[in-house]
Amino acid sequence: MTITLTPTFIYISALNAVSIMFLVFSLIKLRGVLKFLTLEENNYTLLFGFIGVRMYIYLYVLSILLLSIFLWIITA
Amino acid sequence: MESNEPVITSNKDRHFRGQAHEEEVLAFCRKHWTSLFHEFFLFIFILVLIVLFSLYFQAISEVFTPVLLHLLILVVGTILTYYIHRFFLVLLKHYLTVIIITDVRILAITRSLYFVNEKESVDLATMRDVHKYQSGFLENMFNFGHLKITLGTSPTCIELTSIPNPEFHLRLINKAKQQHLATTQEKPLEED
Repeated sequence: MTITLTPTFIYISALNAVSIMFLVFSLIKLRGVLKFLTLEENNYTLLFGFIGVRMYIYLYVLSILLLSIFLWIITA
Repeated sequence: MESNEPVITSNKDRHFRGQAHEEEVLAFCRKHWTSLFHEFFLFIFILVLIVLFSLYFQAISEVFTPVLLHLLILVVGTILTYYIHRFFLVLLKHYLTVIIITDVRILAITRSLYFVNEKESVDLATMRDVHKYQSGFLENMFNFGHLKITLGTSPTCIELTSIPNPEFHLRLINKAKQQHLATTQEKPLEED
């Protein structure tokens, strides 16, 4: 696979870098924010009782990484 | 060696920041999950669009000129990145927004990761009435509704929206209020 440095590719790479940095910053911030609630004693349930907030955090990370890879492959 | 002295436990900051020493949490809830319905529908719609876009990418690239195609990728990529971040931040806001009923007060905490950090506290003694209403098919079908709390000292009222099982929470608030009033009336007598 050859990568051509087109303006679109550079823009998408920058967008992905910003997006991943925002994700990391959100996760760090979330760590601090979650400390203010200990109502569930480590059972962080969110929507239907069986899907916890941790699951959504994993999905968040996965979605952003997959989207970055997808956009990167399309423009490369 | 065992000690017979009672263990003194403090509730301070045990379940949430700002919890008083003798304050007991009776119940807590978040907004009903139906308040996230439209977000999930939109997310699924966006996912379907991504799948279709990747499946027919070859055909799309033949229709548009290279410049337009690159512009399309830029716009779609930016919107998708923004939207996915927004969706998960909305989910986390839903998780962090809690209503806590203690034996002394009702606390409504609205919090998001970046933009909102709000805490509203209503003392049970200053509360006049609680009005529950569930209107519409969805609210009665999925058993959620709104609680309107009127304060005795001012004409202002506080509205808690999309509360799951509002009947239970209404009864709990009324019971807690009665107990709180009874204990505050008893205390001066005990001191005499």
